[in-house]
Amino acid sequence: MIQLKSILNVIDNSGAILAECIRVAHGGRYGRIGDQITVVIQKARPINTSTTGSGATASTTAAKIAIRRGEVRKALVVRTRKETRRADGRYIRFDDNACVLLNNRGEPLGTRILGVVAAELRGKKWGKVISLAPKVV
Amino acid sequence: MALYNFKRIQPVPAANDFLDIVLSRTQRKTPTVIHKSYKIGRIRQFYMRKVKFTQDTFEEKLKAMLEEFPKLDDIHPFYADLMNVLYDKDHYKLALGQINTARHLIDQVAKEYVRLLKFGDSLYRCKQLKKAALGRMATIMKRQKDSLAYLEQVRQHLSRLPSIDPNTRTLLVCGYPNVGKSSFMNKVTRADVDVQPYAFTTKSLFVGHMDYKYLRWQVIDTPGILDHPLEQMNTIEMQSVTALAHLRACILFFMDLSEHCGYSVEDQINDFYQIKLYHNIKPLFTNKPTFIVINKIDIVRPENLPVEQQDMLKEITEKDGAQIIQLSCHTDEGVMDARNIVKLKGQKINDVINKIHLAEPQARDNVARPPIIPEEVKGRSLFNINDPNRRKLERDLEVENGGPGVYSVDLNKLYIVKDPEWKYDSIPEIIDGKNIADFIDPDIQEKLDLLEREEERLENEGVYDSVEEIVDSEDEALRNLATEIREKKKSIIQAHRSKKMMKNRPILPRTVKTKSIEEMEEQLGKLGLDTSAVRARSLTRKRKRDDDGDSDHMDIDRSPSDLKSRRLGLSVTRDRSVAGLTIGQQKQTAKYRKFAQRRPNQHAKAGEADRSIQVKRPKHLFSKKSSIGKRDWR
Amino acid sequence: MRLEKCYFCSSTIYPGHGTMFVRNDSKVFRFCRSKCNAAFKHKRNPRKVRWTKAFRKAAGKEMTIDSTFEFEKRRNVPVRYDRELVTTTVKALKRVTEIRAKRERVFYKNRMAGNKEREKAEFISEVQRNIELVQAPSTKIKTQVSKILEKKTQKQLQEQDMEVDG
Repeated sequence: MIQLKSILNVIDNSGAILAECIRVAHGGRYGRIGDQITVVIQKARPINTSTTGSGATASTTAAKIAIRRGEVRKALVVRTRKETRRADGRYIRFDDNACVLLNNRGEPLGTRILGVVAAELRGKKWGKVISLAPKVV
Repeated sequence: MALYNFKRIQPVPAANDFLDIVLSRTQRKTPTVIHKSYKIGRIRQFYMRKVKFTQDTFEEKLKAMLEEFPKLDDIHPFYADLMNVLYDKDHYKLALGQINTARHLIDQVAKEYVRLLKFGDSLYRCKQLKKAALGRMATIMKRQKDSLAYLEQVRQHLSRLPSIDPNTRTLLVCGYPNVGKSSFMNKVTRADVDVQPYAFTTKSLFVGHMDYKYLRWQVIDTPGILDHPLEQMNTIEMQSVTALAHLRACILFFMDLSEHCGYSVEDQINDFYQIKLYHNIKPLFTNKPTFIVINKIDIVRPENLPVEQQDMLKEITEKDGAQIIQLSCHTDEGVMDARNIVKLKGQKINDVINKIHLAEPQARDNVARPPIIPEEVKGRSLFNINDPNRRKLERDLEVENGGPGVYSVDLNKLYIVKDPEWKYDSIPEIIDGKNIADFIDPDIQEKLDLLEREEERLENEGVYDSVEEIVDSEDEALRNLATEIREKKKSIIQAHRSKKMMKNRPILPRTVKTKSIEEMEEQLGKLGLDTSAVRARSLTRKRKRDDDGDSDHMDIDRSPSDLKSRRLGLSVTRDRSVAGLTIGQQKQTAKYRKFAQRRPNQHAKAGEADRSIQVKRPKHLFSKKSSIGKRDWR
Repeated sequence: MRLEKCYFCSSTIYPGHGTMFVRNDSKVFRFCRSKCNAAFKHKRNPRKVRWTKAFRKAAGKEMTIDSTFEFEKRRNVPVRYDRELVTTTVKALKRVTEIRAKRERVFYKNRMAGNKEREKAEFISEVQRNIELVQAPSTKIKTQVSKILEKKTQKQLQEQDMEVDG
């Protein structure tokens, strides 16, 4: 149940920590796992100027793109506190609402995902995220 | 050395604009109003600040300018030389020097006027001094009009220079004008260089990039060079020469054997300018891999040339080790070959090899781990779609069995099980609320046998023998009685609790509550007691009225003790100060009190019995009724 | 498809039932019904809640050590399908369940063994103390009660004698 003003944890290495939902992409009222949303970054890791300045050591894409507080980004919901129904009738629920940031082409911005993601993503063509995640439930 | 980026230099404003910028900044950033009440010290300070601020702004701007423009001694010699060719070194240095001088002059003017301002004795004089200071600064700046204009032009030109990296792997394309250098460039890289059928189309250096074998190559297109001494060369040609002289690059010397370059064969037969040029500028090629590129072979091939010219070419190749490449940009013949040959020969192969790393895991033991190729695959013939005896693919099966959408893939046939019959078994998962998978164990039979033996042993030991419980009637009676008692207890407790529950209601004392005879009878009856006596008592016994009939007579004949007790009961004022004390103690305390009072009495002090007024006019008694508002004042 | 065990009450969860909660350290908790889920949310300890399997086992109310428990296990060793193995497994499964039920019955009986005597003693003391509540303290009933009690003591004495003799 991600909607306007929902605060989500960002669980990739893009540098953002907290993001606030400002729009659910499909236009419905609530975003669920596997839905794209638009977020504004509420809290980000401080940008290390020594690595970005010279560009000598920082070679990952995440380091190149510096995420700042107040930026507007696309994101993908990967965990929700609201339970989701599985095809076998079971319901699955997580501890928090979490997302990963996407670029404008809809690819993950970070190179790493840190935490569990829901297996629902597999059915929704987010194999890339699934393969990055350390654990899928 | 760092990559040069001349595009970041800030624009240099013209002298007048410069002044406007600085002065308006002073106006904006410093206080502007002087009030009548200001002391002279403050006024002086006010104007000093203006002068100093203006000087600071000038200083800041000029310093930034001096730092941003490249210093010819610090940059790569290629750029230094190129700038010399393009902008004239002396002129450039002079302009920067003048700017520097202007900076110092302004600094001095400011110092001088600040000193004068210290002695300014009136508002008017201070103002005039400030005006003079700014005026002199402006004059100094106006004199730099020409240098500023020149530097601005240099900046604009610099920013448009191609960003050549002097330290990367590079191809340098050079040769006579109009031999097809730019065409080659356009073919090989993504650059879009203007190509026209006349000489000197390319008037400056151009850069393109291409990828070959995962490496980025920089291709530099140079303007054509004519064959005459270095002193006579113009700016355009000099750019080529600078590039040739300073860049460590693989050099492609382009030649056009046809007459299309404008330098006709006739001339070439006699003199052969292009070869001559080659010999002239050969010193620049030392220690660089060099290729002679024969362009436009769609028109003339070197084999078709007169023998003398062929000999000349041969001489070059033999003498200098330069390789000849033939290509035609018109028909694309040989272009890609040329590119590839050049790259491989470019002596950069070592760079590539250095970057390639083949990781091999460290051997942890002596066990050889060769690649595993299954036996059945080894003998297999190569799959050929035209072979009638080829292996049957899943795709063939699909076509045979109704095509896509109808045929469903049989995955079970690939199962590896002992008996092929089992392949199509439907495997049970759940039985009796248990997962079968949790029980599957290759040696389950042995374990089960073990369990059966254990079971047998237990049975023999008589673990399963059940002891019959005999219930006799007395036990039953006892149990019934006890249950009855318990229930009774429970109900009593409950009744008590429910009474306690009415916490907030008035509770009647037990003595006031009436209990009827019937209730009493019922309760006793339940216990099996005879109630007749109770009833009989209530019927016979009546309350005795001792004074009915004659209540109007005076009670004079009461006993004295009776009277006393009644008086006491009616009204007694008890002295609290002696309450709880015996008579002896009371006397003692009275004595002490007297003693305590003696001294203050002697000094005529106020005792506790005297009237005292603590507060003369208590506020709350003397203030009005309150209106709407705060009540703090009370 | 698997039958899972409820995290809280250890009952079996059939497919399509219950909910699943995934903590951020990716530990999975399955619940058979909202009752268990709610108890978990209230941070109740299943070992301290009397109706759970965990409590019953911890409090010694159910069999905890038995050889029949060795059969049901997540072995995490892949075994290739074998029809015979599966049939024997199913047979074994049924037999094991049967044996376990039998043993559990015995366990229960042993657990309840001393109850009868204790109960009787309680009844006697109850009757001795509070007989007035239900019956008037008439001599007739008193004698009745004392008779019962006498019998008891005689019996006990006899038993003691027997024990001495034996």
